[in-house]
Amino acid sequence: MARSPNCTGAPLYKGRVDVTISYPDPDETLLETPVALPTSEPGTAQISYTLASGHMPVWSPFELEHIKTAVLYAAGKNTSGSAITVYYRVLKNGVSVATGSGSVAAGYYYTWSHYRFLDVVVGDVLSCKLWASSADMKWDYKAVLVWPTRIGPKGRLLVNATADEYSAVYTLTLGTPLRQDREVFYTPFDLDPGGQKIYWRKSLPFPVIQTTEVRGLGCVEFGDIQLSTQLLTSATYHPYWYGNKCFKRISYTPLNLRV
Amino acid sequence: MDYRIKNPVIPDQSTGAGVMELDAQLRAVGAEGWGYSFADDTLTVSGPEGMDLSAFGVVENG
Repeated sequence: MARSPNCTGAPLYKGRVDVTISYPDPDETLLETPVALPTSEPGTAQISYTLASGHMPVWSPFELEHIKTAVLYAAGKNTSGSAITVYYRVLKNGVSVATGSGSVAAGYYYTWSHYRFLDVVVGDVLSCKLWASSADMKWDYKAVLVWPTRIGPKGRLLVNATADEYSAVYTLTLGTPLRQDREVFYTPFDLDPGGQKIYWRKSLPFPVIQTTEVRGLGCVEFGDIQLSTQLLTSATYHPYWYGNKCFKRISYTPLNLRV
Repeated sequence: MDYRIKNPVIPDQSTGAGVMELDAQLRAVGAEGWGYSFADDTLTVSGPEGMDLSAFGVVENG
């Protein structure tokens, strides 16, 4: 039977937790000469990253419990005078994770964002094969980013939880990038019994927060709750990407109670 | 809108030919894009409202 620390004599509060998370510069490459996509699936992935410690967010002065998710970007241009279908196969450690396709209008740039890699670790190989329905489809840009998710202690009561430095944490710089900001980091709370979730906001301190067994203090939507691939096209911009927000600093005081 | 089908009836996705065959089948019914996840055997299709995807399985959110 659960007992209150007040009955056992244990302190109600533990020491305040205050950690920062810094993010490395994105590992991105823009080819000087765009490369044509084949018209059938290639044997070898054009885009491949072996995750290294340098890809990982850095915690200080210590890490909170979490796992990591990654997004792989692939971008290029339809240089033909008509729409072309681009096909993809996403692989993790050589095993197929997902397939799919999308259309790119004549003369348009495309960016695939593959949010397909939950629970990545150093040494994982993330890859993408691309091919097209006809010639004149090129690729010239690739990048990989890693996010923490399911952050913090599970099934705990925390007080004065803040996320004052919650914002977009990566900037893609090569090519002609365009970032579209969106909220993607869920709190542990659902808005209603239907499961409508609430996003963390920079100005959203919680006097008391109950973390959950899965999400902890929070988890990212794309790459965790939704393992998906998104295609953005533009006449002007590539990479054209969603700038997912995350924590740069988390502070809270844990209650000495398991819930 | 996006449609989601669990355990879809689709061509083998282990080959590029299977990917292109599925693409052709989906575009024939009006799909604009799609993705298939091996881990949960789920097909997600983007396309206009009212698209008939019954040949591929039961649409969860249709």
